[in-house]
Amino acid sequence: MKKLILILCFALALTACKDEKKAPETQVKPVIKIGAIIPLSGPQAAMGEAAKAGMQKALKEKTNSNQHYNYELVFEDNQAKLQVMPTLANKIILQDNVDALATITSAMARVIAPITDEKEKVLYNFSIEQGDYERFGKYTFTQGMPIDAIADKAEEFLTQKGMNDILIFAENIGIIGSLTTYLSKNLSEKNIRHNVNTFNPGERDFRVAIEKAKAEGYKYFFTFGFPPERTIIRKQLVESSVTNDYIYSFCMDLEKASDDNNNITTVTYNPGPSEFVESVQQEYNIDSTFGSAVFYDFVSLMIEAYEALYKNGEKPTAEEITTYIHGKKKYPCMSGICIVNENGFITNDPVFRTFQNGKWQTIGE
Amino acid sequence: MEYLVNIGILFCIYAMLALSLNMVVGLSGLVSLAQAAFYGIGAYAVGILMTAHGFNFWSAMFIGILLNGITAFIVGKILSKFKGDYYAIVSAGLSVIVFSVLLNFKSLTKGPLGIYGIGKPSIAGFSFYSSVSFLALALVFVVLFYALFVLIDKSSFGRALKGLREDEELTIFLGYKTTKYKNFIFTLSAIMAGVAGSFFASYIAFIDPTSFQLAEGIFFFTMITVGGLSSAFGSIIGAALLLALPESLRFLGLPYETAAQLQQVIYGALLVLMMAFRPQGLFGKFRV
Repeated sequence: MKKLILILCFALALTACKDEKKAPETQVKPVIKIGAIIPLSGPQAAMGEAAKAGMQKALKEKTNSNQHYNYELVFEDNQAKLQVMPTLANKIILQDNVDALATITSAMARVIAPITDEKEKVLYNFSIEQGDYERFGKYTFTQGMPIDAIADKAEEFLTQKGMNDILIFAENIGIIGSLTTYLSKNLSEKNIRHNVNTFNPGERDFRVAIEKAKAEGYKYFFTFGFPPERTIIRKQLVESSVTNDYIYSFCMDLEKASDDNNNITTVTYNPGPSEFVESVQQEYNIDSTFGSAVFYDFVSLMIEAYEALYKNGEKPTAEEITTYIHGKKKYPCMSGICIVNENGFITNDPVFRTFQNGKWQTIGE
Repeated sequence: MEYLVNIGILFCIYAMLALSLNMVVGLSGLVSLAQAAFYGIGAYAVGILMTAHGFNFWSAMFIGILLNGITAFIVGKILSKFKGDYYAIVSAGLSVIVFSVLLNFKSLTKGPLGIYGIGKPSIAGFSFYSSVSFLALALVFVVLFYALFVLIDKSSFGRALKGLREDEELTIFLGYKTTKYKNFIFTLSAIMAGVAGSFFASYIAFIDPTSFQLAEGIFFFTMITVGGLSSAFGSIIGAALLLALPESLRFLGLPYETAAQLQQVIYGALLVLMMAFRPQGLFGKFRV
């Protein structure tokens, strides 16, 4: 028991050893703290790390000594767990004194929107959403893509290529189910023969489904989902003698370029121009994603708004920032063209990407 | 202050879960990994009934309790035929089934999209909307659950449970119908987990299946193992420790490039050390 108490004392002592950074003696400019509650450890850490890199890059590129404010980033790790969100929102607002914050997925944002509303902070959120998106907080914004836009883009691709006999593998996660339902309905209206095979995250063996689909005459395979499942499906399709010319996918991440991906076309979020993607990879040693671009946009937008609304050292309110963002309506951003609707849904158009000559290329970039 | 209040609410929910699970695992020696399932059923009952059917929190929670009781009674009948590792595996199976139902029965649960806009409880016109009032209400339930645990622990029923935990054959030989005892404690524990789930749904206002996975059940199991099996106080301490440890690590001032990962490593290392030096948990009276 004594040893145990010693261990606990050690743990508490560790927590007491907080790195107290001394404030500079002369604080010339007020500081705007921009926070993010994102998964930085756990199974979805890659998504959070990509977002973090986007924020860091924006801070580096969008700040200079001539600005009215100094800007700082604050990160908290939520491990993609809903239950910690209220606690973390309170911590990051009340302890770390952030002025605006962001998170990933509308589920997380919905949980903390009442808190950010009450504390009058802008809440930015990265999520795929339904076209009939409803605002869930006074100062909330969601940047992403309406699922109908993604489904329409996928449909455009399928019909342009004159495809028929399509099997869609759809991961039962987030909004992908709705996306598939929407796409399937449209394909049915156009009499395009297709079927949907829904799978749960964690499934690993798709061989039976592939063989059954082939036996039923399906020739083209569309994969809607995330790695590793999406990658596994593709590998198993190739093992089953389906060539990449017959495999298409939807993805929001940027897979590493490899020969396995040759000729695969994806309907994807706009991850930003190639230079952005490559520079994130080089500077932060991380695979850039649409999330990197969105979080780059978030920090850029906040810096722009705070600078534009500067008034003698007094920080603008969440209400003023919200009005400012709404006033932008349509503007160029890292993830393409951002369009703000009246509910605070900032949308970007999906793009086609294909892997050729050793790297992914955005078609029409 | 509000940060601490929110931690307090989460602590209460975990304490309810730890107390409920410790009744099955600690008092009876039945290694159940089904708690996340009952937690989820309770949460979804409140979520669905409050948002889609206009129920108030209490009536929704009551129906959740009924649903959990019936489910646990049926599952408990099956589970009571198993012992030890087999009991753990079968109960884990229940968690997987419930998670799959929550994820795939979209017309009822909205699947992976989850349910949002779940309201707060109210009594006679007083709404527990503020965090402090919600914490106070949750604390009342923790005290009730604690009292129930102690009552059972000290009763002849509790002694029979401990008897079956130590030597089931001997307990049967002495004339106790252990199957009934196992089933009753399992059902009671499920009902308590359902109450915790109801509070969770109302507190967080948004639920989706990811909060009720088997991994959560293992986390609850860790709480009672760290706190101490067969101990009401240990359940409370276990819940508090597993909540406070990762939270306190946020204040270490680690460089933010590696803070999240280092926090997990330190947290894991502390758990390993704790189990190495005190395998029965802090206040444990029994070891699985």
